Amino acid sequence: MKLARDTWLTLQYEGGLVVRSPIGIVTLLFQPVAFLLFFTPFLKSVLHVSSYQAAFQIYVPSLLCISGLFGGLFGGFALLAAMRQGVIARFQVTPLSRSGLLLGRELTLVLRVGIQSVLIAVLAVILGLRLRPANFVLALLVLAMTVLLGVSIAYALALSVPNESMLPTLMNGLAQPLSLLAGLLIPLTVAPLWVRDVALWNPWAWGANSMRALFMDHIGAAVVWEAAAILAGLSVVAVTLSARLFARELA
Amino acid sequence: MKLARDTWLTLQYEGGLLTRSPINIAISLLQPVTYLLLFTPFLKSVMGVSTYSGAYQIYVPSLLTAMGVFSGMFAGFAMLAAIGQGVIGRFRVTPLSRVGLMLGRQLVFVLLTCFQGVVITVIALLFGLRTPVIDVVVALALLALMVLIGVSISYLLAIFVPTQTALANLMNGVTEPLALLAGVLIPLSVAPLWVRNVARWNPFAWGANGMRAVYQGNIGANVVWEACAILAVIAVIAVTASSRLFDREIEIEIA
Repeated sequence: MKLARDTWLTLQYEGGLVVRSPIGIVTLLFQPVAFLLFFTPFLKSVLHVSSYQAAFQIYVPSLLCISGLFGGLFGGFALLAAMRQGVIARFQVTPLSRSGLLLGRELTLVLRVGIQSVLIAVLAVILGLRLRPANFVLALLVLAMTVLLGVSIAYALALSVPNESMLPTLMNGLAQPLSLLAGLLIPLTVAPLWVRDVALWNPWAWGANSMRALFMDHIGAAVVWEAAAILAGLSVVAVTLSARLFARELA
Repeated sequence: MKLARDTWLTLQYEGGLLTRSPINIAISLLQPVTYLLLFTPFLKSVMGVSTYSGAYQIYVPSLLTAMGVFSGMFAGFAMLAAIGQGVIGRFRVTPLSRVGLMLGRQLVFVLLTCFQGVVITVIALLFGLRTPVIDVVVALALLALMVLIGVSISYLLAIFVPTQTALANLMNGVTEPLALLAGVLIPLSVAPLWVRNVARWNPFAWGANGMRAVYQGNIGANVVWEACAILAVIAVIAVTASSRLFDREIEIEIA
C-alpha cells in the first residue's frame, strides 16, 4: 500500500515535469516521424505489400518498439543526471520508500513513451493505418513491459557505471544490436535463419512480433500471449533487481 | 599559395587533436560496424541477392553515405564548442586566412570520414565483399565531396541556431530525411516512383547511387561521373557560402 502510494507520488512529480515541457516530447518525435514518412515507402516496396495500410501494420509496431527501446535505455542518463544534481539525495531524506522512488521514475518513462506512441499511431492512422483501438491498447501494454525492462537495465548500468562519457557508448553498444536483431527495421520474418535463431533470445524481438500480430488483428496468435508472458516475467525480475541495486547503492 | 599553406596548418593542428584520442575514433566506428554486420543479412534477404558479396556491394555504399550525411552533425557541434571556448577567436588574431581556417577544419572531417570508410570497406572485405579495390578510391572521392556538403550545411545551421539543444533537434530534422531519401537503408532502386523523383534533388542520393555503381564494378556507368559532377559543383558552392557567411557572422559575434 505504502509502495503504491510512494510510486504514485513520484510518478505525479516526475510526470508533471514531463507534461510541463511538451516541447521535449515533440522534439523526440522528429526522428520517428521522419522514419514513418520516409522509410515506410521503401519497406512497402521490398516486402511486396500492396497497400500503405499493410506497410504501416508491419512498420508502426517496429517504430513504437524502437522508440521504447531507446527511450527506455537512455533513461539511464536522466537517473545519472538526477544523482549528480542531488535530486535523488533530497528525495532520500523524505519518508518515501526507495522502491517507490525508483518505480515512480520508471513509470514516468513508460508514460512518456506511451504519449509518443499515441502521437505516432495517430499520425499513421491519418496516413492510412487501420487499427482496432482495443488491439492498440494491448500493444501499448506489451510496449510498456519492454520499456520497463529497458529502463531497469539502464538504471542498473547507470548505477554500476556512473560515468557520463562511458555510459553513452555502453548504451549504444547495447541498443543498436538489440534493435537490429529484433527486426525493428526490416521484420524478422524475412531474415536469414541464423538471425531468427538469435532473435529467440531477444525480448524486444518478442515484443515487436507480438505487437505486429496485434496490429494485424491476429489477437489470438500464440506469439501474443507468449510474448506477454515472457516480457512480464523478465520485467518483474529486472525491476526487482534494479530496485534492490538502487536501494543498496544509495544506502 | 598562402591559402593552401593556411589550410594545411589548420588541418595539421586539428588533425593532431583528433589522432591524439584514437579511442574516440574507435567509438565512432561502433555504430557503422554494428549495422554492417547485423543489417546486411536482412538486406540480403529482401533484395533477393544470392551472396553476401552482392549484399555488401549494395549496402557498404549506403552505409558510407549515411556516415557522410551525419559527419556534418558532429562538425556543427564541434564548431559551436570551438566558438564557445574561444578557440576560433584566438585563431582569428593570427595571420591565418579566414578561408584557410574554415577549409582546414572541414578537411579534418573529410579525412576522418574517409578513414572510417576505408575501415568499413576492409571489414566488409573480410566478411565476403568482392569489389575492384582500386575503384574504391573513386567512391571515397564521392564520399569526400558529400562530407564537404554535410559539414557546410551543419556550419550554416550552427550560424542560425547557436544553442546546443536546438541545433541537435534541427540537425535531426534535416539529416534524417536527407539520409532516408538517399536510400541509406534500402536502396532507391527498389523505392516507389515518387521517392525516386524526390531523390533526384538530393545530392546524397546521387552520391549513394554513384558509389554503389563503383562497388558493383560499374565504374564506367553514367551515374558515376554525373554524381561526381553534381557533388563537386554543390560542394564548391556550399564550402564557399558557408565560409563567407560564417566569417561575417563570427565577426559580429566576437566584436
